Amino acid sequence: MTSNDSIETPLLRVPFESLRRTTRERKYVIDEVQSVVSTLHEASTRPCSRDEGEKTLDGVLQRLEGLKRKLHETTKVEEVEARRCKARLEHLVSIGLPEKDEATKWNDKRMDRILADYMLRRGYHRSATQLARERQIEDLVDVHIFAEAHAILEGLARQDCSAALQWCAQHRTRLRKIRSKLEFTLRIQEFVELVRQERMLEAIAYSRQHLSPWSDLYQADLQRALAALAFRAGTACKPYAALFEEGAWKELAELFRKDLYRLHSMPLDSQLSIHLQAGLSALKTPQSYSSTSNKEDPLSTEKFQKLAEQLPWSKHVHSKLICAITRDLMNEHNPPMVLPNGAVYSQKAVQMMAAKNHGIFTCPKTGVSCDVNDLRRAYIS
Amino acid sequence: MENFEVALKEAEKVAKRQRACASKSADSLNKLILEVTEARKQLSAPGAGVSDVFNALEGRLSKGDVVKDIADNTKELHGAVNKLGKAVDKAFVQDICAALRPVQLDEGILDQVIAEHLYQQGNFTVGDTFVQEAGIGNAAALKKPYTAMHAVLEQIIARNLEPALRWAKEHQAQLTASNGEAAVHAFEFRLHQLQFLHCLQSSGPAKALEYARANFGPYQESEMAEIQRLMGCLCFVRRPGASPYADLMAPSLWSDVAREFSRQCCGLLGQACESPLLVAVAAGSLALPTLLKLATLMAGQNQDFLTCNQLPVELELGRQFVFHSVFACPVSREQSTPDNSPMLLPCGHVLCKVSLQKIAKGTVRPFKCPYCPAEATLNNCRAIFFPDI
Ligand SMILES: [Zn+2]
Repeated sequence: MTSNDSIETPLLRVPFESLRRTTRERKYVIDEVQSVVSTLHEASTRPCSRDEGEKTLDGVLQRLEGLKRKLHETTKVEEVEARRCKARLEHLVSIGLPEKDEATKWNDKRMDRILADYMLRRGYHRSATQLARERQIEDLVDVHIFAEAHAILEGLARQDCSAALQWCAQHRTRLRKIRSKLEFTLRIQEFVELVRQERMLEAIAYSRQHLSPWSDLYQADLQRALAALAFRAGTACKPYAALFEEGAWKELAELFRKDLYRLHSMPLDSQLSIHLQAGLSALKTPQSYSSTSNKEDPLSTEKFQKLAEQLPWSKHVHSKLICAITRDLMNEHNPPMVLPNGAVYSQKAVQMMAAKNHGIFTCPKTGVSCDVNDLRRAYIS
Repeated sequence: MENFEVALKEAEKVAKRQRACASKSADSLNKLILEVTEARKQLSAPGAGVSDVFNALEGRLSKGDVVKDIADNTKELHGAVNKLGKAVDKAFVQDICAALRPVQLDEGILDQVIAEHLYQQGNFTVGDTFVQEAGIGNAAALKKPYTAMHAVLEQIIARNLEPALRWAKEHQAQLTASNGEAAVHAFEFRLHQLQFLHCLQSSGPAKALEYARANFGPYQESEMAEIQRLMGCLCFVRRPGASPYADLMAPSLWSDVAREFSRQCCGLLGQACESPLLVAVAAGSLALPTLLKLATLMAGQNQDFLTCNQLPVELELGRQFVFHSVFACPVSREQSTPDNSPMLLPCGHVLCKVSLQKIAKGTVRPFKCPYCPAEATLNNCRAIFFPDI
């Protein structure tokens, strides 16, 4: 294998980035411990009263106990993420690389976790956890991340922003770093709901408290939202109609999902979609769409044709010829033989049938019979 | 593979470092707390000098190097994590979405396809939960074809061929119509053969012989050679491993028959033998590394990989993924179509019609084959076709 071409990126990125972050948090805690100790040092260099001394030591103890708790939390997360990294790499080592012509069998070993990831992204939490448990792939699936998201998405489905806002507060620094617009959008939505209910004074108060801090970043959005005060829900006026639309809540949920994925170093799309797009393109040939198409071809079914609708066709600059009788590849070792009617079968098939039928070959598709001596070999490069 | 192994070693080191660092840091912190608690006690004792207590504490802390210990351990953990990070960077593609088009796959259809996959794989429990959660309406219809099949498969795995034999008998007419009599005979005989061998191993030669006499009759003609071999087995029962018939005792015969059964079954159901979702994902896993590289490359050259309507390169996925004969003209490098069919020259070389007409320059005069010295005219070239598999 050459450098960095494994397509299992999300499998490792997710636990590793979390591990890296957590060990960084450990460093902050340790820095804090150092600063606490230096206050002790400071105290020992200048004279102070017993009262002051007692207060200093009590303060120090309180801070140290707090840091101890934090360190304990950090340790727990580190342990879990280090275990996940290890388990996932062990899994990759154990399934190895696909042997020639064994790609389907090999992917069978990856399929369950790819499906579990898709189920989680779609919000099918029970299916995902059941699948993970049954196939014993819990360490290979990010159920924990979606468990955290579940309550928030449920809240948004009930048109309630509170859980989502809480989540924003919890991850404020990191969300700011990835330039998340989520919190601002949630605030706008709460504001719009007040306007929808005609609670104008509250809306104004709300905008002062929660919207104005964003004015530097999103001035245009903010102004447009504030102007909504002048309209009612149900307005036909273009940008304002959109603000009041029910779809806004769905978009909010999507925005949250995206930020959740970014925060956890997950790709925005599932491995399933990524694989299907690539795979369906690679398989898409005009022959798939013929009515007599091989049913082993996923693209011979209506459902997969629909899935592949907007995807590009595969490219073939070399011929790949399969004998319809033996299903063997036709090449120089098993050359293609042409019947007088133009149908092509492999030499192997022709010889097999001729041996049984006194030198007569009958084309199974057209029913035409001919003497094997009338067949002509084709040379295909 | 090697990259994974390197990364795994680093991950193991991280786990070890993390354990060491966590326990040492916790110890040091506890020690620190203990010392400060002690100092606090001393301070409340009557007559204690404030600066004495502080100085003593300071002395104990610097002697124990408590703080430095914690800092060193943390640094070591960071070092190990950074190394793991480098190994991960080296093993995995950076942006797995680079080749992704901004099109959304129809989620409703995808859900149905997944439900069908779960049922086809025999994962009925998860299948049922999934169908419920995804709100799939025609769930019963998706599941039904596989219900009978999986009951039989489970029995084959438990070394019971009765249900499979019964199934083959019940579906004999349909199987014959779709696969031909010879194939059906061969499949039936495979089942009887395995049942005979199983009988021989579990109940002895007398019972096996009885089974043979009762069941091998219809296959006398087509399978004589094999029947002779099976009868030969009867005298080697005691040491089957050393007999010339060892291959007949291999456990893989059972999984082969199970696989053959599910192929036949899916075939009759008009289904693909392999789960189409799995096949598509497998094709994707082979195509992705190339497509990702290509997408990066083309983005650098300002070419748009994401809008072309044919992939810019040929992907070699292997025989497993060739479901149709594809003829590509060696001259134009284009695939044949019904309007541009492959043409056989008298010398046996094959070109597409369009290429041939270009070479002939639209005349009936003879021209030279581009691949050999032979001459041909348009009139003595003829169209050929590759029947569907
Ligand atoms: Zn030629």
